[in-house]
Amino acid sequence: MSLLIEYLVSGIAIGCTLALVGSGLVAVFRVTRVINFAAGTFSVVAAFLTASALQTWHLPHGLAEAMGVAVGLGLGLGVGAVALGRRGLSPISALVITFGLAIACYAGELLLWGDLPQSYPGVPGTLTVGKLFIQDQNLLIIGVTLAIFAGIWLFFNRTYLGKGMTACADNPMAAEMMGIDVRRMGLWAFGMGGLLGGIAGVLLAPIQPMTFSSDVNLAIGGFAAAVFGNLMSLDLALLGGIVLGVAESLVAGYFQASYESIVALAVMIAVMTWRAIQRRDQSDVEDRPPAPAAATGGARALWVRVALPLFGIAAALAIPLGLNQSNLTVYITMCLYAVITIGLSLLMGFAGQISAGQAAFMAIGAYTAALLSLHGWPPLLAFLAAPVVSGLFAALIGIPVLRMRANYLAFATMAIQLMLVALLSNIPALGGSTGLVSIPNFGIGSWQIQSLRGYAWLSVAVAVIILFLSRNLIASRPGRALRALATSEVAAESVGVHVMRFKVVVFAISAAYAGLAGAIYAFFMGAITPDGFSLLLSLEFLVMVIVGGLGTLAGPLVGTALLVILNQVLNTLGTQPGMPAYMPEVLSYAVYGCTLVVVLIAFPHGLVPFFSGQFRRWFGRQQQAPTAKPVPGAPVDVEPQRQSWG
Amino acid sequence: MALLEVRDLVVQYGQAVALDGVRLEVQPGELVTLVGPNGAGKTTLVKTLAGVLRPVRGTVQIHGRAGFVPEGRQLFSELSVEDNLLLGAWRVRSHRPPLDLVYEIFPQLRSMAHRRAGTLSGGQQQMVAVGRALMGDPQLLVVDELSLGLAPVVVKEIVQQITRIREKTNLALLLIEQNVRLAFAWCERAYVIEGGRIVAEGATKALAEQPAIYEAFLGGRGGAAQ
Repeated sequence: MSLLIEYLVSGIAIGCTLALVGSGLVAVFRVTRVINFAAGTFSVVAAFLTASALQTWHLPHGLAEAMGVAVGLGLGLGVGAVALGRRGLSPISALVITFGLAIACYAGELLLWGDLPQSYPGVPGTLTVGKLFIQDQNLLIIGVTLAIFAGIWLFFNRTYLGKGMTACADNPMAAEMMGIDVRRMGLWAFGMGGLLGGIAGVLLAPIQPMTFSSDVNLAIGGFAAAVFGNLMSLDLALLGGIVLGVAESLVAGYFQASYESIVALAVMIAVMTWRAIQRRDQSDVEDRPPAPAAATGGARALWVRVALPLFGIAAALAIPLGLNQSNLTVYITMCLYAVITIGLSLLMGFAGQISAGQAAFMAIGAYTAALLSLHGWPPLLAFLAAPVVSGLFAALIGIPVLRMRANYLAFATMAIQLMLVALLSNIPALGGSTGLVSIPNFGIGSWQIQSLRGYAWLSVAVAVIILFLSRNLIASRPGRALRALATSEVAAESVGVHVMRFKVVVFAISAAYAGLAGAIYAFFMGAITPDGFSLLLSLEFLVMVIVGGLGTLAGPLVGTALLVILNQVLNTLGTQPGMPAYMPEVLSYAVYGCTLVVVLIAFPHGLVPFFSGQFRRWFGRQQQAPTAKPVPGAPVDVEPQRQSWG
Repeated sequence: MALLEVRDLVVQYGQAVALDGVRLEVQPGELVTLVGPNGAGKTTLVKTLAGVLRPVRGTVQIHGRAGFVPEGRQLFSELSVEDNLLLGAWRVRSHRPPLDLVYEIFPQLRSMAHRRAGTLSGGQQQMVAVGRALMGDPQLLVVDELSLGLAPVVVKEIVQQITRIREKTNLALLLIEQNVRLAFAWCERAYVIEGGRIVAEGATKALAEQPAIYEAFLGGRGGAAQ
């Protein structure tokens, strides 16, 4: 009994820190409609700095913590300045920018503090009531959190500045007409997020040592808490944080500590499902994708439509003949990643949703194919089952999550990513952390692929098929609905496109593609481990698509090729003698994080659309160019509109 | 000195030119209307005056305070009526915002001060929007589509109240209207905008007698005006 109460109290304390992170998310979302992925980063950096201040510089308590929180605030303002820096950037682009910054911060954290967990003593002493022992730090956390929540509630509901900030979220255009500087308010909101996150981190580190990657769990937990109040309500975020903290603490106490992301995801999905049933999601947040997906087709010359693709296929099939063993592996990777990124490009470009967990769907496909073929299924059937399982899983998650208008999928997929790796490492039947080995080769009947070159051809064939399937999908009638979706959800809905269903279908398709690639990967490698499907890999997919260009098919191909090659270079650099073991990681985080941010700010539509636009400008081919005659009274952020209605 | 001076204003959306060399002036206390067909650039001009859009070329000078009633009301729908009104005084940061003045003009708003603005009817919302614009104690009131979607009786009431305020203060009005009959009946001077350019200007009486204007806006082909 006393154990249960102790779990409850520590659960409430941890829940309070999640609620603080969550309230930071709410503050940013209320004012800017941006979901801030870097919410957990503020906590981690604040905690790290406090640890250094206490243990290395021997500063007194109080001062050290204040320094930590101040750095959190500064970081919040910095992230806000970058995420809101470019006028007219959509909330979804800003979301990806915060994600990129969070990842780039990993590199800094690793370089400055290494990869060991950091902690420091908090308030010493325990409160003893009978047989009950409660750490004073827990009580401190609960007290501080309640005081802060009272403070921010008063700020938003009772002060003029707080109301001005709310007005920005409510109606940015009107706010600007009243003379409210919407972007400065957004910046303050980010600063507030940094402050709250910093406080959470400084309070949490004494009871939960932190590593550089703790931010993911904090951000997911904070997000799950904030979802209780639909990212708008502070009191519900507090309640959500406490529910979540208690649930996590009970699961960790009675089952397994590594399941905390599963609890967060389960809570998140449950709340969203409940909200969907209640149909309480009334906020008309319409997050536009960064670029309306480029239309295919148009009247292009015959050679562009037929000869060029044929030449491309022939070249792609011929390339393996000229490659040695190690280059063949790179080539196979490229093809498999291309399959995944094409799916992600469809999802991001057309459904306007972000998946930060595509590697998880790849893992589901890989494990499905591996397990089935290890249990005696013919490889072909196992291979075909993989995308089906991945797609169904995605649909199951997508139905509640995609009902919400705001971009909740990004966090949900990130939670799936963490959950899956945790689950796979903990379930003996799935091989635990050593994974599955001696997976048979792919084959049909008695014919088997024996060589790398064979796998290269299989991969390239699958990639080509996927490419054509996707191309036809975009050009078809459902594809037209998808393009409508990319331009305006409300408009699409008004002409009878069932927006939610289409989003779920696109999400499932993208997951199925990832599953397919995972299956080939499993056959090709012969052994798979949970670590092979890390968050970093999901991030790479995201970078590939964004660099290449959303909603195009050429974009992901170019992005994938560039990134796979870049990856080789980074690996070679990072594994130079004398480098610390985590150096390759540092380089990847820094380069990928910064790439995301720079590309989104400098080329918001990706490289392929940018350069094809330049190409047209240089050579004077005005194909499907935006109308240059006056279109007065058009919406503020007019993108080149395409008239693709029936 | 003119209260509002717009010179050679060019505003673009990407490559599309929405306003092309617009010139416009409003003197203190003057009643001016800007009329034109859909897509002529009227709302673009309002947004540029309010600083929401940035001109590519040209200048907007407001010698005094301006209050804006945006097209479609654009209230802060999650906030209360009173909060909406108070935020109208953001620019002046007044310690004693003239809430009572607005409640005097639109008495029915007082009883719904704490209701969420999004739950009000269209006419009430327009009153809040006008009231909100008046909170900044403006010398120029810019109203974009006053009558759009409102019952004639509501429009009449709002027009009467604005007229009443004008009797006490030297408030100038720039009215952007689709209902040209209303605009011409109320205002002294008018600008006609088409395709992002001012194509005619002058006293409303004189303009109404020009056959082309009469055709386009006051009957003739029908369409723009009822």
